[in-house]
Amino acid sequence: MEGVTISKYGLAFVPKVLVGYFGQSWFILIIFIAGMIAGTYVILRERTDPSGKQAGFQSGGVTKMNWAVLIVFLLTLYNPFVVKALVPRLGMTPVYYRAFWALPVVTGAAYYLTSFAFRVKTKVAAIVLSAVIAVMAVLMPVNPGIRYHLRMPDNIYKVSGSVPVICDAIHRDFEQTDQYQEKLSAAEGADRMTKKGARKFVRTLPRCVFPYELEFQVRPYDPSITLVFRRDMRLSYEGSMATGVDYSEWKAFTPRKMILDAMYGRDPSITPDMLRESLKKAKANYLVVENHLDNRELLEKAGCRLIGDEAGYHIYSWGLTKSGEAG
Amino acid sequence: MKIAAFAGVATLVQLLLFLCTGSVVMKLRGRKAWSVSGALLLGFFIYFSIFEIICLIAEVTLAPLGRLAVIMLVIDAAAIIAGTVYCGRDWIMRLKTLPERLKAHGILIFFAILAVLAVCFFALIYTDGSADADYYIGMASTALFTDSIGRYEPTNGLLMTAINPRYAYALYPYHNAVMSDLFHIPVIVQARTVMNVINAFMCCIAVYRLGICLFAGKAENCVMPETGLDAASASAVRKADLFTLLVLVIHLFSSTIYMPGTFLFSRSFEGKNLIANLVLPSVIAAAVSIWRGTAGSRRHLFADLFLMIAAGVCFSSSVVIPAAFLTAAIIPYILIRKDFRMIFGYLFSMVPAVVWMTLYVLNSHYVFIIRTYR
Repeated sequence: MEGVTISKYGLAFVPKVLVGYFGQSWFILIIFIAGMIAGTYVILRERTDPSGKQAGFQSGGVTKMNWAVLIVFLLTLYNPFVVKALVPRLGMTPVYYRAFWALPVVTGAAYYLTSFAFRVKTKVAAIVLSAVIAVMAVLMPVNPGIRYHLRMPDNIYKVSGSVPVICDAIHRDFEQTDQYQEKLSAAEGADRMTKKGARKFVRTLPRCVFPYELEFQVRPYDPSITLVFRRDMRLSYEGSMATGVDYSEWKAFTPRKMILDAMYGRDPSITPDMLRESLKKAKANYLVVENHLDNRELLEKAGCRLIGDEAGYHIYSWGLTKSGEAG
Repeated sequence: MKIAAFAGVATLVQLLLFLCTGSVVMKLRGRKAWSVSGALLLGFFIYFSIFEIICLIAEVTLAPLGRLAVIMLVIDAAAIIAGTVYCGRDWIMRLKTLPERLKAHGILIFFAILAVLAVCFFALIYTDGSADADYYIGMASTALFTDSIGRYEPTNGLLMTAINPRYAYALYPYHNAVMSDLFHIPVIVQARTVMNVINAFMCCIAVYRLGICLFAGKAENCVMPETGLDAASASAVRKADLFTLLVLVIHLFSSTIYMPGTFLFSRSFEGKNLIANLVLPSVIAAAVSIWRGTAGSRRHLFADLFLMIAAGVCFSSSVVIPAAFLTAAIIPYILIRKDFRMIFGYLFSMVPAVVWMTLYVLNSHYVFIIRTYR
């Protein structure tokens, strides 16, 4: 859960995560707790009837289990003191919200609603269940997955339509370069099971920087393209702390950050020389930039060459030559 | 079009594989009658438990992915042939009683089926370009492209010096690489579409089985119970239908990205979804059958729990969540009922989680590392 850390919230961390976890879906929790209370009432009532004691244990087994699980978790997994002492050591702060999966709230709420529906007359059950669903629809927004993504995909790969086009353009260009031919012959016959051989193989692949909206779609679609950024570092650059790691102090981060800052003109102090040095350090071959955000002047001054304008993106190559041409 | 057709075949064959595996084991356990949903679920857990062991050995020994694919092909073919030959007649018998069983379900089954189809359709069309999708699908696509297991960083394609312990044991993404290799479909299609739909469907099945366990009478091994046609069972399946429908409706209104519903609708290809929406409901079902006193054969119950946790290790390191639930549900039961013999069953079912945790801790503290080159 981004921004919610133990160092920031201390003992209030667990309640803070609980609130963030349920968000506007707190109504489910209410149904679950109400069901547990009603289930407890049924157990107690059945206990007073000696003939129904055994049956009471059977029918109340679920409620008893829910109470047992809740109490154990309140003492351990949801105990603010235990959490404060243990969770940071285990490096689980960003994913602590998953601890709330362990409490069967959704299935528990559905269980109590179903039990209720079959205890009363069909008409009453239909009215009450419809009312509950109506209240849910009014109080709670639809799942974010459906809210934001209910549309047909662009293609069978479910990636942006521009990804296949850009990847093809990069491969087409890269395979004509002298550097590719050199690296290919160096990798020929190398044993890829060794460190040296595997690295030689990787060097035969183009190394690119993509815009954020495409970056995470590229390698699932085309693993023969390598990237200058790895996932967590790119997230860190974009300001996301979802992984819980701040890469800004990392040595490898500086040249990569400079490349993106230069591509989008985010830092006017970057000179062509500085960009060239960063591209060299990051071993970048291709830069892909949205046409309308492109900082073309600086890129070209640093030696980047526009090799394509595909699907709304400019593709630049850097440090690559084609037989006889200057890089 | 060719890719879509192959993807359709891959979906059906993988479901058949799970059905065959589950059916054979159920029959070997001496079950005369069985349910398709129970067999599918059991088969899913068995398959991924076996896959975890074989894939881990392949990863540690730096075996190429192609070799893993051949091994899995042999195992899958054996399971499908054994299932078809050994259980074919039982399936036909089940088909013959289908109208009667549908009648026992009543009208609610149609609403439940509609909800399940809606979930599967959403999984089919859902497009996820998230950072996590990049990692997990990248793991599989990189493995297939480089014919290796875990040696290259999935998100940038560079050689790693050692495999990250966090991902070293959750080997489920490589199932997608293996299936892509066998069916000649792009990994991204297998992972994002085929497995997305299969997982969404299996999660709905797990919820339905939980519904059966919540409302069934005394049955032999409630996690994968028989669904007879007597009055009590008919009532149980009707309740299970409504329960399934309600769980899916509640998931629909899960408004935050952290709730299991979001994982079901938008991240169903991920191992984390399988933990939240498949392993956890199944473990809850087992715990419910213990607390309700409806668990018949404890041997089978704890064997099922063992498989659930083992498959959970394959899916994600979040397997600690169902393991924590199991502990919180069973230990109080043992203490309240003074049923101390159950502790052995509990410890047995936790073996995969304990082994995984030990390896993970040792690996994280560099007692050993899994190298990516010779």
